Amino acid sequence: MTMNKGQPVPRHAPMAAAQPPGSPSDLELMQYFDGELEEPRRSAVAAFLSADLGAQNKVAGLRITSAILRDEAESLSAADGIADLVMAKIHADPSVGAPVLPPQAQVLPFPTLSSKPAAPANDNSRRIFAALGALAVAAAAAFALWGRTAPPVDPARSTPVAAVTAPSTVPTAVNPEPEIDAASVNAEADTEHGVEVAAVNFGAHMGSIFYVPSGSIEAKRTTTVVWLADDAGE
Amino acid sequence: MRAQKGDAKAFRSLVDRHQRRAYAIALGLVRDPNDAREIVQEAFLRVYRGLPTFQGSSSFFTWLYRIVTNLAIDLIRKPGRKDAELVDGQSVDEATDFPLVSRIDGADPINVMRRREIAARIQAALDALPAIHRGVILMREVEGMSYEQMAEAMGVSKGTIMSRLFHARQKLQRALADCYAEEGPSRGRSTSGEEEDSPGDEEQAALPRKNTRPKTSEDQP
Amino acid sequence: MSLLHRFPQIALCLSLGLSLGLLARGTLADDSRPAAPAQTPAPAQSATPVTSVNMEVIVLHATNDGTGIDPKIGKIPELSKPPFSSYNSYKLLDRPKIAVTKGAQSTVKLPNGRDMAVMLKDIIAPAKKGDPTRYLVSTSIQKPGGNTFLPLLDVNAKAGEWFFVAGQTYKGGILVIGLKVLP
Repeated sequence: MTMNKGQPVPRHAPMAAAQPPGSPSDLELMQYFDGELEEPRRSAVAAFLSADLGAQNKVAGLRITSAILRDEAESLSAADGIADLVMAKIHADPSVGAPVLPPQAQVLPFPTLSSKPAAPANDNSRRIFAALGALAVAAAAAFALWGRTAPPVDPARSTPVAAVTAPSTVPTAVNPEPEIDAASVNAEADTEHGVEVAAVNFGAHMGSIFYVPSGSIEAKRTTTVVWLADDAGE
Repeated sequence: MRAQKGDAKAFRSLVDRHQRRAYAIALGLVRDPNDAREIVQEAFLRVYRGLPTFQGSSSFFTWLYRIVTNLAIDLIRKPGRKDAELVDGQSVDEATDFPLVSRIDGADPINVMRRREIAARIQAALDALPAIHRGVILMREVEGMSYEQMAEAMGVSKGTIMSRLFHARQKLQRALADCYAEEGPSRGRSTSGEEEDSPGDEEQAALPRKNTRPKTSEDQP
Repeated sequence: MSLLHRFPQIALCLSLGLSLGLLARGTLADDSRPAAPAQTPAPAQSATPVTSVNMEVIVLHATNDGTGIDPKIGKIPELSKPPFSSYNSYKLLDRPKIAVTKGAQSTVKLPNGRDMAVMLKDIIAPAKKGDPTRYLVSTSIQKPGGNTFLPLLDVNAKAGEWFFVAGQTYKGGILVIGLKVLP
């Protein structure tokens, strides 16, 4: 094969040295082995192979490595249990398994005021609204000042509690499990993961960390669960 | 398919069938068992989420391995990863073809020790490949994906897939040839005319395959 | 008549003002009143540094034998939710209480012959008033002279919060181990 000046050699076409005419390149042997060679070239290569020991050995070499790689992959028992963890995640967190809807399906109608009467198009209305606005601000300021001087509110009454009560069999010598302070729940009502995982090393096992809802839905708290696959067992 | 209709059991059996192969490919890409497991888990989860909108324009496995590849590439590209070389920039080695091993005896009842030795050499050669080349050859050998499917999964041209696959196989064949060369002239026999290497077997082994395991001489009766 | 028409706007303005006022009151009131005592009282934060805490450990056997959740376990609603709900039965195997000292390891023998090591790594004082004390607890599970099941799990927990380690194969099911720092 000769190279034309200025023309790049195709990257996927190796230049075999001194091949007899019609003999397949190693790339073609590979394509033949992979079943990717089109007719009539496929038949030509097959015919060549039937007579050429060297080419046969090359294909046999591909076959051996293919079998070895496949066997190695099939023997990877470390992969077992992935299905368990995937399905557990799907069941544990509905959003994980929730189908992703096309964007248009997620657009919610913008809330609008219904039967909003048209404001009269005169200056008086503007003055009235301005006055009302000022009144609202004044009311806000009044409440704020009132709040400064008001006695402290009983925290026990002001903070809703999500209870995780201890089992009744807990010996009385042990302090009864206190109710979880839901004041520590994020004020913006995001789900709060109970126990934070600071570091984890699953070693040779597959592991997942779940945050299982605990308590009431309103409290939006979760319990941390570290789940490992255990092939060996006892 | 049933999994697409929300049948969790069907999806579960899908995962069960493919978890090992997907793991092997992910492991080939990222070379870390924990990372590989995380990638495969995440890939199956994304597949599950996307099932209702999966239109079947490409095969399921192409889709799955596209996700696996993308996740692996994202991980490999993270700063600090030592496995930074994704693709070998060189073109197909034009001066070196597949090494000629004149004493291949693929149908030989290879004893366990010898097979282990060969497997270890091949695995070492695989480890030395750039990540994407490992991915390509594992997708081909483990999952039996066609060039077109691999091209779609990796987002490259079919020619690029062929180039990468050829390059990867060159290296592995060299490792195999080294194994046989070290054994010396005492072992091996001509395969010419041997039943296991008859043209019929070759043809049978090379028949086009779609998502099926390529046949080997070991599969022959 | 025009006022009637404008009633919705008037109502909106007034309610907005009321809301702003209540919000302002609440915010300022929080700053002005003394810090509320924590619902989960932490160990004493006075001059004496705390170096050990008590922990409760619960060892459960999860199976699908249909016997349900052992009432001796008590109320752990998580057990009826995924992923725990993969098993329909939970039996209480053990419920030791251990004292965990900072920097020292305490060991809990598990029914499958493995040991669970628990260590208190640190006690994190609250950053601001009203926040609870947090405890950095380290756990690992291994078989004496054998393989390590869980090399490392470090958690940052408040007193009274359960966290669980699950998955060890045991007699046709799995072990579920819960840990909790006692207040």
